[in-house]
Amino acid sequence: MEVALLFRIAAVGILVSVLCQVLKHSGREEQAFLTSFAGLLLVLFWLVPYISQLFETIQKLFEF
Amino acid sequence: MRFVGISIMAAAVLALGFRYSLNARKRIRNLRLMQTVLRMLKGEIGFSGRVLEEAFDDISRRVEEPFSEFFAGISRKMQNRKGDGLAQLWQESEDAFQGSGLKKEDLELFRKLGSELGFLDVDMQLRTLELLEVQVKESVEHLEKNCEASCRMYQSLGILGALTVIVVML
Repeated sequence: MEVALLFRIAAVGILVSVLCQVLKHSGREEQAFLTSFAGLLLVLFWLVPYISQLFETIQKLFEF
Repeated sequence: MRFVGISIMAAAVLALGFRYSLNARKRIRNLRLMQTVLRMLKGEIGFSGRVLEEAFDDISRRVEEPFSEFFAGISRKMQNRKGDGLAQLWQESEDAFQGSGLKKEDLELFRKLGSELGFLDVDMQLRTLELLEVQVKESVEHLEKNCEASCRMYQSLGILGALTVIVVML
């Protein structure tokens, strides 16, 4: 896994949390929820290949 | 090339945020202008006793955009097409409000005036104008209370959105 990806995920986390705070303070809870949900989906989208790689590695580990 | 694309997208998101903020301010300004227009119409109908065509023409010269364009258009159309109802002409002239920041509900409120002017007696027309004035005043007060907060929110959303675009695209 590249270190750049970790930084990118951290940056998205920070931005999404600030966006949520701004929206919540303006009384837009629904949009705040949607923003955090979008952030979560984005990060999951980036992580899916690595998760599948992890499962494959585990599978190989238990193969005889 | 990639960086140029990213910067253009980020600039677009930033501009969108600032545009929304500008529109919020424009909406208040135009609602206040609407209040002035309603007061003028009240004066023209109640005290001057002029016909609507002349009143609209006069108002178009005394108020700022977009109402000046709207009333000039409606007055012109009234001169040219005597057969059409005022409500229809009113609706046709609403193109003048494009980009004015006024929302659908504001325009619907204003449209109500178009459908009720011209065929009621003077007293009823004045009462309709008074009612609309109160409604517009209420929405101006409500918007003014939240204006600063919502403008700041749109600007912050624009900046944060631009940063998100940069992070996601890099």
